[in-house]
Amino acid sequence: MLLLTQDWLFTVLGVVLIHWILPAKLRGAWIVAASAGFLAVYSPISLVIISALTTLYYFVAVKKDSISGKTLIGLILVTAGILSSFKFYDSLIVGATIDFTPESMDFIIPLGLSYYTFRCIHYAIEKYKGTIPAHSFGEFAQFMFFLPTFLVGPIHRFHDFQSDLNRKRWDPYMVAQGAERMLYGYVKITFIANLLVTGLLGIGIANISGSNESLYAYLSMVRAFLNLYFMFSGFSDVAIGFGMMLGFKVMENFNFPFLAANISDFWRRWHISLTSWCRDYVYMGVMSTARSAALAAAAAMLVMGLWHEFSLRFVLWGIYHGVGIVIWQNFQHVKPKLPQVKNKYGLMALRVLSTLLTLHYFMFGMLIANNTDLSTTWGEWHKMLFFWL
Amino acid sequence: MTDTNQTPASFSVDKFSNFSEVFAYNQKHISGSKVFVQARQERKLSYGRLLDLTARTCSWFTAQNLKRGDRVIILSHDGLAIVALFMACLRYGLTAVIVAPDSGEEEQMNLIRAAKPSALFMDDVFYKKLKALPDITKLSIEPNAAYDKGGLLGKLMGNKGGAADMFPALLKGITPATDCETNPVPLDTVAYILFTSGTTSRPKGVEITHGNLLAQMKTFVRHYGYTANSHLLNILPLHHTDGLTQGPVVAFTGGCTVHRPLRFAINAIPQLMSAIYKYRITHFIAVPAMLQLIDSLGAKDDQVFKNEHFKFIISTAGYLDPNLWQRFEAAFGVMIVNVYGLTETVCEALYCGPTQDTRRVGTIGKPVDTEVRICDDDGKDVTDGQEGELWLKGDHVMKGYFEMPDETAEVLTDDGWFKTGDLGKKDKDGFFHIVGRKKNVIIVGGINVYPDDVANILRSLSGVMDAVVWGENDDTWGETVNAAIIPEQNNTPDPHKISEQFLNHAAVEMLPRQIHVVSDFPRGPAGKVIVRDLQKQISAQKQGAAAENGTDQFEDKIINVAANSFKCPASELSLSSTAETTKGWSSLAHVEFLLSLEKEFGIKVEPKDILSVRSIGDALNVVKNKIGEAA
Repeated sequence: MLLLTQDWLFTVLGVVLIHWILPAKLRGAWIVAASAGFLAVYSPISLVIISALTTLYYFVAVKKDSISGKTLIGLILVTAGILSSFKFYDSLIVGATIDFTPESMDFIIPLGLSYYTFRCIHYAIEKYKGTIPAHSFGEFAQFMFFLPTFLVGPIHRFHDFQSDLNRKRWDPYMVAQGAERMLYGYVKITFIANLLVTGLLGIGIANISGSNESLYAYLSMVRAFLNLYFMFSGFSDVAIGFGMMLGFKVMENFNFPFLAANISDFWRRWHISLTSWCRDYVYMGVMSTARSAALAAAAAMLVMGLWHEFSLRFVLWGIYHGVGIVIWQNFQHVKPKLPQVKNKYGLMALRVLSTLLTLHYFMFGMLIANNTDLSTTWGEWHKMLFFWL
Repeated sequence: MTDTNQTPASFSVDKFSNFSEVFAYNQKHISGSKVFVQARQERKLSYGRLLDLTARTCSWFTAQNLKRGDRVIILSHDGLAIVALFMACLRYGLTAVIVAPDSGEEEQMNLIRAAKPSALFMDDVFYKKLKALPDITKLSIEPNAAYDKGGLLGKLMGNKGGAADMFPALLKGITPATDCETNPVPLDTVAYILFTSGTTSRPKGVEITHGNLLAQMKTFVRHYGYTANSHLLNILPLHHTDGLTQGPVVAFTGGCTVHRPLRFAINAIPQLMSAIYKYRITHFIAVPAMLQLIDSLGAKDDQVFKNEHFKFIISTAGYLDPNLWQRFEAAFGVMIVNVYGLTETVCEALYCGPTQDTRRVGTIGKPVDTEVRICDDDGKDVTDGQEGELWLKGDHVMKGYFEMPDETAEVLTDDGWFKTGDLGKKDKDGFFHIVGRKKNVIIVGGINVYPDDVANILRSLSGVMDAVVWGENDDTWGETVNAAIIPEQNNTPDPHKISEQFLNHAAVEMLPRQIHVVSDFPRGPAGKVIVRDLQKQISAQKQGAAAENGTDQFEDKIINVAANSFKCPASELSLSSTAETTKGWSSLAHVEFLLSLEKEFGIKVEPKDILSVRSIGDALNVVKNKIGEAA
């Protein structure tokens, strides 16, 4: 993974150092130039795509106060079309190699494409809604060419980005905080995810293999979850820390998801920038058109699945979570009619149970995405759920 | 020159006995590179540049044969140019008359004529626009000229300093005056005249002497605790006392930096909040209307006031509603210092805060460097708790109204008491309260508007036979201007066209928010219009119209629907409620709210509307539009 190389660390150091040495009026241009230079070295195709999208958006949307519904649809089709083409091509060529981790993005998908296309669509929809404040092309270019969030997101929003641009000032404390945040990220990735979870825990679990297949399957699933969480949140920490060192407060991507009390809450805590994007632009869009919460939830989760990969398993993964959310939504209508627990300890026990249930629902869902075929997934589920058989 | 940005331990503002000493002190103790004024688009004026520029301008004044006490007009859209020229006038002893650049041509010409100036310092655009200007010394100001070249890089990027025949570039070849401080400007010299209105043929100009101004600046620096590390944010107009004296003048006296990074507008609240954070602002000088808008539109979780830099907000130029005061302080975790004063007292006289002994929410606090009396109509002191007119006395009370001895005598007593025209009372703990107004003035967002002036302009417009103007309370602006007109016979004037015509004659703050067309005014036995009855008559007309289309019921219905959707009491909601301020406003509840409105009003809400609604007020507009379309 590029984020774990010396090249990356030197890039971060150089970009931050030069950024603060330059006069304030040149810093924005430097961020754009540095990001473009980085892409030119590591993913020229991505540089071509992002430049084309930036130019297209400039002429069609940035220059105008608002855009029509037709223009919006056109922009979404073009932007999503580019992403879909690569995702489709990717699934044909390397399908089985794709997993849930950010490393997958290093291969066929042009660097950062999944993130900046979603940023573009967000910008287009907000422009259509008329919520984008007046801004210059330079601000939009910086929003697009923002190196810290190229590799693993988060999918930050224009309003926050512009606010940070307006507030940017030299603040040694913030730069130090950013460096510390990056360090935490690397500790999560290298020490916790790689050494403890993959290494030591992996060895421990391997010892069980053969003696207790159900326990082995369960612990492997837990290990995969921990690995994914620490890797992905660690990469997000690196991106957020890098952003802070440049004076930007990039949105958080994780908020202790393993403490979520229900599946809806979980998706407000896990990969927040993607889930909030899907909520705002897919869920709300479908809901406002079709007036069906179930359909909107299913559509949002389907888009989230396809964002990861164009494949049947991710379609099923999306449906699995869509069903989870619909069940939860309907349960809210039934809940008041059920006997109410008022005892303090009873409430605590319920909270623990619901948290464990939510976490396990997610982890069981991960198996759909991690296995190439449903029969393997079913086999794993069977081992754990029907361990006595 | 000592190269330091810190206030020396020996600094005491009370040591200054005239402004020449302030200039001399800053020349010696403040680093030349320190920013004095930070303007829009990162334009800056440093202390070093200011001192050099004002010394050169003084030489130019001498060359133009301008004498101390001569009046000069400053009329520019460029805040930095206004500041630089005003400070040069202060240093030299000229009397500055700053004219509002956005006011109408007629108003600007009225002020220029009334001021009887010896020189004009204006943007070229005004020389072209204003007809029949007096044939006197003229200086052209280059708008948006560079005052600080921004170091080597700035010079390399082609910053040459502007047009050679315009201010400030024309001063390049002029030797800076070296004797500016050797013969201090006497304290009785008039530093500036601020005209309270320019729409009449005899505008009233408040004359503030160097002594008045210095006394007020000393009070500000001492009472607010300004130091060389203070960063003031003041974006109020420079042709108003709060923008000028609580901005560049006090910053210069205290050796601080004043920031004017944007023009105030409703959609500029995010930029305003950003500026407070970005520039490490310590004191924010605001009018209540700004605080109201920040309270309504600013994100409550914004941490801009909660940091080690920020000290307090100073609310000036208008009544600060105690509810807003408390709500704002609680929401943003910041102290508001409410102050009271008038243009005639330079700026302020009573201060509620920042020290606890002067602070009581809902009051104007206690006087500082000012004597206060509450007097009855006979000029006798009333007892504590009784209402009367507020009289003030102090070194900061104006010299008088320019060439208006009768008007001056009406408000200034022989022994130096100034009658404010405001009704107040003093409570048992010594705190003063404002309870009403004796004089006829409407204060719109901190700006005084005189109803008679507005009515005169309305009467002068074609199609208008008579007009009456009054103020109405407003949550955001404090008060708004409202008018009723009687059209000429066989004429049905369009209020929008009248508004357009009106703006050719006066500034936008004078424009009535509503112009009601009526057939006659209710009058008393002496023929005087009874405004209260007129308001009732208009209100009855409006209610009748509202009852016809049900408009008045919309708001309540929508708030009730919102309360059901968001599962919260209706009393907690208002038209300004948003997802950020309403706990139950989730994405699911949002859609439920819009769909419930469809059922409630029998309308069809478009997907774009569902996506675009961000507040209950937005939803109200959607409902009104849909019902309007259906009708």
